[in-house]
Amino acid sequence: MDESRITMLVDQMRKGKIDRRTFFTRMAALGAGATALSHVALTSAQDSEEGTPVSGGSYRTALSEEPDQLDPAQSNQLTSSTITGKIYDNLVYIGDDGLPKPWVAESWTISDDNLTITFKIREGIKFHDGTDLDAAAVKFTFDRVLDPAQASPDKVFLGSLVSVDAPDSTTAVFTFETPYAPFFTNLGSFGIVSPTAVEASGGNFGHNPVGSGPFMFDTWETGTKIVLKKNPDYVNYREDDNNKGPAYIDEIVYNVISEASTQSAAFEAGELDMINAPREDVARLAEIEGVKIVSLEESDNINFIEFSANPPFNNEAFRKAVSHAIDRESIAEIAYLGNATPNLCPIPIGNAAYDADLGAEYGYEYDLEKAKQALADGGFVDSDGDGIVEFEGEKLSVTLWSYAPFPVQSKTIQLVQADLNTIGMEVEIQTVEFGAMQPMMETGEIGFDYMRWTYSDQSILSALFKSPGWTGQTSDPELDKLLEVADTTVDPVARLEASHQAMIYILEHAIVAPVVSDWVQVAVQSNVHDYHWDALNNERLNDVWLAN
Amino acid sequence: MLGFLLRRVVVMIPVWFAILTLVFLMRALVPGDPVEIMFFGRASSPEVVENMRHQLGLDQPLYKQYFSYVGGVLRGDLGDSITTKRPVIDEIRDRYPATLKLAVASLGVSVCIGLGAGILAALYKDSIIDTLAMAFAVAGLSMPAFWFGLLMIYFFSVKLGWFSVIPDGSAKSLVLPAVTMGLIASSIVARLVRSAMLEVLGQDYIRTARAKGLTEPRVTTSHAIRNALLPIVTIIGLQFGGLLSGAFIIEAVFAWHGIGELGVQAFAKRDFPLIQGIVLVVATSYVLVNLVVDVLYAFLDPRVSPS
Repeated sequence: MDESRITMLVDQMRKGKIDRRTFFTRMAALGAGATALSHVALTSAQDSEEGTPVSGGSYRTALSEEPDQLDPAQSNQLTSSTITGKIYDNLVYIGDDGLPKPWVAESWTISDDNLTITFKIREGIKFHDGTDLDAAAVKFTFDRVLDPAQASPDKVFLGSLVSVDAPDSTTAVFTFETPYAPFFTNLGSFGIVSPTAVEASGGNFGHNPVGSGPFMFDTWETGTKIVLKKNPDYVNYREDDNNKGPAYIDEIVYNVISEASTQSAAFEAGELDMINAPREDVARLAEIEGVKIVSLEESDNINFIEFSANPPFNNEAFRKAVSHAIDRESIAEIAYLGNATPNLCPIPIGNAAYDADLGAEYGYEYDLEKAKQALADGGFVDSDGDGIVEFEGEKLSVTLWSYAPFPVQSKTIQLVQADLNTIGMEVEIQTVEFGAMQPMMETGEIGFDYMRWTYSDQSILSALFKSPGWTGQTSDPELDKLLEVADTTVDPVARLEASHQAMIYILEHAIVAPVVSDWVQVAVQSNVHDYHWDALNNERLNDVWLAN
Repeated sequence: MLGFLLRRVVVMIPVWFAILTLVFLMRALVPGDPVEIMFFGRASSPEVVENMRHQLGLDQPLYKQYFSYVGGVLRGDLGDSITTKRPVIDEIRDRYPATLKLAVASLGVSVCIGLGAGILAALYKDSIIDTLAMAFAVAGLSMPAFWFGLLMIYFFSVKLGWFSVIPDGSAKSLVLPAVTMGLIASSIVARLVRSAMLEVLGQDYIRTARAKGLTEPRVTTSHAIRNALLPIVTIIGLQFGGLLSGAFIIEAVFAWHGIGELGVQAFAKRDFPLIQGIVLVVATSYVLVNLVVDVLYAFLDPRVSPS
């Protein structure tokens, strides 16, 4: 273990140069043991390097769309979960190491057959309406989602969960039909709701939400803004926040502003404290005096090239050649303006299962010679000397697709087109409206395309590649078996290993060509301090404070 | 007059039903299954998709869907929004006053500037005033609303700090969007007023008025403008219809929470009942404004006989 490197990393994290996630990843790479890590985590939790936090102030931000409902059982919209994440507490959260950590649940046990998870519910937590958060409330929360009459769009995130029982006030027993490993990650979608408030709301709980989180719902002016007030009695049981008490800020004001340019203007005029920074605006915003850009480089985003089951795309050599020919560094620099990280793993860089070493060992780094060799090995040769390879007597001419109207997608496929041209492929590029794309992928009309997914859990591998795959073009019984193991291994540590096995298979067969993970970026005013995300890319505002 | 009004209303009914039918068919004609499109790119179970299809009545034959849709609309029921689960009529009712406010203010700006510029251009034909007024009109017509709106925000809110970017419901926050929309709309009015005025100014009765020894301001106000206004009423009426439909772009740019912005969000979320409701309300506004213009026209110009 390299002591000086560790000291340097600790220093970098304290100065805010790297976030906690990067810090832990790099520490792990250095082989720092758990004791060293916890020591660092403990000492860094004492104070904030950005100064001594002060309480008070209104934190004003923008939403690009109005949320549909603030009821965890009724919405799977991203905007909604941004807000519900402040109103509700969950059973567990996912830590920087990718493993579940205690929150409302103090501890849990998993049965040997992986079909029962028993949570011990912490005592003394109160909802904003003063009622107790106990096992009965937990049961109530999940029963609502399971109830077919509710037709909850989130039910799919509970997998094979059959029932929840509450034998006493601190025990909640979750029973599954088959082992369901994504469960712990997916618990992030299910804030515990106040049963009393649900019943009192007369079916309109989504507009009168009551949870036990750090912020309480205050007002909702339809189409205009939503205001949350600080919960003065909040006790924060999460280890990944420094502040264990009530939030520092008094209120959060979410203004609905659909236009990104208008959001930027409101931010520049000082009417907003934080906005999501559009990639094209990052450089400009960063130059404004006092404005800070906060970047989450270990994001849950992944951009990749996926292939249909038709020739030549079903040819492993072809896919390997494509993957070797992609200049990921240039794409990150040119198309993403430097706000993305090249990725050789078939999973987002922020995912618990991401492993740079695995990517380096089994992935396909940019190497035109290897790309050409792969083509030659697969029988793609340029016999007539026109610079374009032939396959089975025909010139290799393919179309690379992506969806419109996103400049970054168009730029990327142009760059890939140039890359592939240099190894002797004739490539056309085409963009199509997103809604029109799925039917074209399902019929195989689209041979290969550049796609982007955002997904927090390791089950992204199954969502993308388990037969028939999300495009209906994947069918690989060998891979299905590996993914099945990953999806049914409930023990979080064993599950990581199972996901790695599936990733190795995916890379060995070049089933997909990973390209980059683009960053999540926000711009904050100079008086906003300690803005950060958790391991699943959820914004955490408990530590945020506003300097006077 | 009453008979004329009744006839106009009767003619309106089939037009309105044609609109209703088109609005209904809109959903049926969209390629692909609307429910599949709604859920594209989001995790959902087949159970939820089926449930949604049933809720929307999409599992019924098309003619049955049509009759239940028309029946619903006649009872004032436009269905429920898929995203918010609230009645579409409530969503629209919440937003319409904002659009109405903006439309009236913009129309005010458009008429004042359009009339002023048009009259001046006609009175001082071929002078520098004429050239400037018409250059302004061409610029207004050709400027993209989105760009112009952002420019206004950047200059008056970000740089000068005179107005807040986020509207706070005060009359002051109405100024920038109304001026932007009004300026764009005024360019058409200005051009029309100019040509109408020039036509009238060349008429015999103007020469007669001058020969009678009337002063030039008197000739202009009592004889020229009054007669020139007639065709302009039509265009102003049409413009008001357009403004009422909520300027989708302007409202989005100014974070103005009217029906246009609601429409943009409904399209983005593929909220079909809401989109249909908005299109129906917008089209109905148009038809009603047209009716008012027709009646007004008959009232203003005795030659358009109500009989």
